Amino acid sequence: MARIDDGYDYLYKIVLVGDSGVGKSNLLTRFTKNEFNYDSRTTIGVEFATSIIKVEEKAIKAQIWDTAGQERYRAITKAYYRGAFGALILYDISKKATFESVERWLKELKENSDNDMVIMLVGNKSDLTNQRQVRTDEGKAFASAHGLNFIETSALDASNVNEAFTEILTEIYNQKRAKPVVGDKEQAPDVEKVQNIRITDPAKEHSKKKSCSC
Amino acid sequence: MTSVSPNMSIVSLELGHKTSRDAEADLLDDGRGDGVCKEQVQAEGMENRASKNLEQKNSVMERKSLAACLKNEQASNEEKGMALSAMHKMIMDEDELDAMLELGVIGQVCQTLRGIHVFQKQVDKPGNALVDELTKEELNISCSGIRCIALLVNKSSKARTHLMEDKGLELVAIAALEKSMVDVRVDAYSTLATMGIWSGPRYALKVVETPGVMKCMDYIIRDENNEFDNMLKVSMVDAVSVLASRNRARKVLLDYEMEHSMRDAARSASNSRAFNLAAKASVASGALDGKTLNDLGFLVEVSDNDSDSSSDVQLVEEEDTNVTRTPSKPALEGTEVYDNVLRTQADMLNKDGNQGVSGRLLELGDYLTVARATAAATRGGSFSDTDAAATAEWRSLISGDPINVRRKNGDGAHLKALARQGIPHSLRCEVWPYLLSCTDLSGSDVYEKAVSTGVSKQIQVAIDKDITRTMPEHELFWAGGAQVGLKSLRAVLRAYAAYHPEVGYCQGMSSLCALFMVNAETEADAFHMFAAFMDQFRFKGVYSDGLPVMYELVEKITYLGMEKVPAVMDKIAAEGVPLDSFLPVWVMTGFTYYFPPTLAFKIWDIMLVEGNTDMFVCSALAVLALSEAIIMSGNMEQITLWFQNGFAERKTGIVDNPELFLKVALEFENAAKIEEVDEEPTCGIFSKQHPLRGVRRLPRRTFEFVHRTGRRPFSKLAERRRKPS
Repeated sequence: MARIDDGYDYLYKIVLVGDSGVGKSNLLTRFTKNEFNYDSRTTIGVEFATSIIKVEEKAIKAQIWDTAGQERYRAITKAYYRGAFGALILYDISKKATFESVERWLKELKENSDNDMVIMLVGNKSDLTNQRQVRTDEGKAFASAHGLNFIETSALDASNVNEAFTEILTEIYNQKRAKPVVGDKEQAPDVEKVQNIRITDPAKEHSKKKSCSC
Repeated sequence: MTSVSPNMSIVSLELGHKTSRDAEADLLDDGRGDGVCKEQVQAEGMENRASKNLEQKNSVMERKSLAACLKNEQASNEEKGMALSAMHKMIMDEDELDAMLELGVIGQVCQTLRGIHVFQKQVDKPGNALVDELTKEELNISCSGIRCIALLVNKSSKARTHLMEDKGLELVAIAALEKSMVDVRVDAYSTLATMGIWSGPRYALKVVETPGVMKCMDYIIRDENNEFDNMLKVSMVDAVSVLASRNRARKVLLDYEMEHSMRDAARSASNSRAFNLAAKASVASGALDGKTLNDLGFLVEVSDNDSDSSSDVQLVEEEDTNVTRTPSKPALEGTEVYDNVLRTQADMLNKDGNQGVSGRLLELGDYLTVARATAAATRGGSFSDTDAAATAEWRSLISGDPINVRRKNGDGAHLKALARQGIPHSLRCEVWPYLLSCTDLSGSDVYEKAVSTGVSKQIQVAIDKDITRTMPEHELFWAGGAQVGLKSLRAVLRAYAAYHPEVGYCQGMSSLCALFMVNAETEADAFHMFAAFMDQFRFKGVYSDGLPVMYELVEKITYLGMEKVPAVMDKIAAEGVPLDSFLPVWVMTGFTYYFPPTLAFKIWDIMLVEGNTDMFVCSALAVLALSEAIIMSGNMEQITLWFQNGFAERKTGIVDNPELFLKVALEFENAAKIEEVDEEPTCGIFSKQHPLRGVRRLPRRTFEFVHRTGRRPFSKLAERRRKPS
């Protein structure tokens, strides 16, 4: 496991949330490995993956945390919202109930994260056209009412998956470039500062702000 | 298809995946399926189309129309026959085979075969049908169908599950006994052998109870007319041995007096080529019935007759079956004979690219162990093989009244030592219930009551979402399969949620439940073990609201990790890898998620005997300790990925060497015994300066602290170590 400096200019942490079974893990593997696994396993706790994309000639690295959807795991997964620059809230367009949970997920994210987090609403499984229970305009309406970005994807046929991640990363990039990062002394990051930005891990992030008295 | 470049086959595979939902929909929709079929079949004729399209990379339509043709009641026999033979050609290609399976092709083949009158008659009176009774088309269909089945079951565990569930084995047995189908007899026999060898606990009984199967097996093993080659006989003997390792199936085999055929086969083997058969047959007859194999003298007698070198013995299966007499050599020792048998077995398995090979290897290795043990037991234990002695001992331990084995054995030192060698896989479904003291429940109606109680819609939905995502690589739980395992898993999880509403259902429970199901003879057994485990090992608390016991275990691992493998923990802390990105998964799935079954089962063997969850803690520490060299040069991402699944990949030397792993894990055995920390710790979160100092019961609270403050418990420690002042 040699330390490889895989050359990137910016590093952003993103979380995937949404009800159990909406396809978070497959959306992630479609994006990071271009794979879709029919025999995928339940995510327990959190899973991690990274990918690098180009935005305006800059290499942006995404550290993505895929979280378990079940209520009881909230204690573990919540810690990962903190310090995340962006979040994708997923629902399954063929299951109304997963769309109805979106509001709860949004509330949860807002309560546990920095305010300027970029949030995108993602209607997944758009390939299941015959079983659709949530219309595209319903998703759109919810997103615009809450100031979220919106997209419909299919991890199965790969449609819009890269677009979804590219869009959110671009938006984060634009937002972060417009103002100083993380509220600390750091200005807009460059390659040198990537090391600092890496400390978007909830633990360090927090300890830096609070300066613990131990 | 085989000439297609790798990229191309990926493309076609993807296409197959992409459209499989559509394809299912098509097949469900009769009208549409038939329409496609009629147009295409009648327009150009299947055979023609098939050969043409085989050259093309996109054969999705091909597959669908073949399947649809079989399904079409109006298609003529001639068309069906052609469709089947086209299918047979197609599935020679493994990618095609997989895609065909997705379309439920075994079911279609069985259904088609049932349409032929030969397959409708009673299997009790086989061998009487005359060729005249079958039209040429019917014979054509029968032969192609059987060939398809043989090919499918040989290559795919999914196909085997399908065949069992579709009751297709019965059809194969008919074909095997049918004089008119002499052309495909070998295909049918080899299918029977394959099904026997690969029958898990779930299907063993079904296989032997399928009408005609025993007759075929007996016929081939006896081979009175000298008509079968060694390879087939060896496979059949293997099949019997595997089946004999299952209690209920063994009873049926004994009723059929199969041990006599085995013994005869072993005795009649008179040269080195047949040596392997002989050795296996004797082992198998031992597995069937200890009395038949009076002692190992019999085996040595067999080996006396033949084989000039042990390497020759190993090669038996690889070489041609043309038999030549080789000079004799001194008798092999009993162990050597067995080793050779085992090695041949392993070689065979290595050639098989199927999933779950390791599990099978274990299972196959095990019936031999059982046989060894039985032999050892009958000889008064003089056979110097610790495995054998252990197996015999397990048998005697569990043969008494159903009582708590752990308690019965006093301090259990002996039992613990036994468990560390691993409980033979074929005995697990008997030993585990004993260890969990739930054997007496198997006759009770606890399970039925729990099943009938029912659970809320919400829990049902949560369970349904997970069952197809639990051990999907295991054929019992493969969603595209016959779904028996899935139905049982769903039933047991629902029953448990009803039985213990305060626990209900939490993700992770399905993994444990599946583990028990793989090692149980019946659904109710799995439930009883699952419920007993949750109670006795405090695992209810792992899954109940707030996951308290999970945090406790994770914190114990963290604490001991800092003490025992400080370099690793410092590195993890220094890179900012969150511990809860991997430790909870290990605990909540009982070390089944990333750990190969061979290792996971052994961890569980030890833990069930010890009676507490220390073994989980030890196993986690072992992963950390064994990872040290690798993670030292890694960054946060690499280390996170390493602990999430990297370490579990093949050839990392962590989990693919169970012996080493368990040895390392057990080094932490004493350390793991701590329940509370009595002394004031001297560093990190445990130091006097820390706000939480003085907290005795560390686990849960420290973890809550971590979540409240977002700080890792030992980040200070790591900092201090980095900057020695």
